[in-house]
Amino acid sequence: MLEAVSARDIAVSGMRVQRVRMTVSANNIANINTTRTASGGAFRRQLAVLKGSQIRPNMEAEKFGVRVKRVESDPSPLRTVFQPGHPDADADGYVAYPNIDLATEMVDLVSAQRAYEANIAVLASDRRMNQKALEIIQA
Amino acid sequence: MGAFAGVDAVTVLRQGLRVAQMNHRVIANNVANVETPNYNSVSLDFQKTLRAAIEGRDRVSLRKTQDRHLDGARELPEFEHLAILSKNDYNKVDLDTEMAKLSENTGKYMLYSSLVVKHFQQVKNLLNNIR
Repeated sequence: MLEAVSARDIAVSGMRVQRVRMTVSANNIANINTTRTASGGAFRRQLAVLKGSQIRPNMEAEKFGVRVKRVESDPSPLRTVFQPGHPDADADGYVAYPNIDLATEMVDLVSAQRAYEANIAVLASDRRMNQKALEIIQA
Repeated sequence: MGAFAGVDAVTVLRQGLRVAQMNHRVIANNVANVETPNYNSVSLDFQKTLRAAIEGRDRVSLRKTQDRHLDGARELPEFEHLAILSKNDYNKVDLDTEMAKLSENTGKYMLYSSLVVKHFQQVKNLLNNIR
């Protein structure tokens, strides 16, 4: 129901989701050369899958805004480098490195930041509208 | 009759102002502790506290009214905890939520104080017109 949800709640959900995107990107960057993980194999790039709904009449409050549906691994191939002496080298002497590209991660970071700032603008706009409404009383 | 039967507007507004001030302190404390390890954010249930204050039910103290949990409808979905956990120090303060709560609470405070001013202006008008 549109009355139970405010633009403020929707903007906050957006801000939280952008922080998660940033966390995932930061983790990717930190692990850019991680050749070994607990589950075996090299670290794989991760990305956050977001989920939202088109607004419909009589929609439940939880469906407004955006949420992280899941964090999944990028299935694209890992980078293989020929390093026979490396402890994680396979039988042919190739080491698998993460499929993480700094340029892509930086773009994701900036995109998350811009989206975060846009959500803050929504919050500020909501606040200004409420303040304007208060001026009716003061007139 | 409605929930506020027998209670006048000034009482509701005054208690609303008190609860808003209390809530402001709670939120400010959370924000101040955004980097403190092991700190759990605290939140105030505004409606419950306001009702308790209006009904004069026990002294409304910070200790008795704090909830450690936001209400169920606003429960964080599972992946959104990532943004808080990434701090690595067991601190549970979500700055975005605190800022939004702060903005809402400030709005409430301004609303209540404007209504109080309006109320007394009306009383003054009434007194002037009686003469």
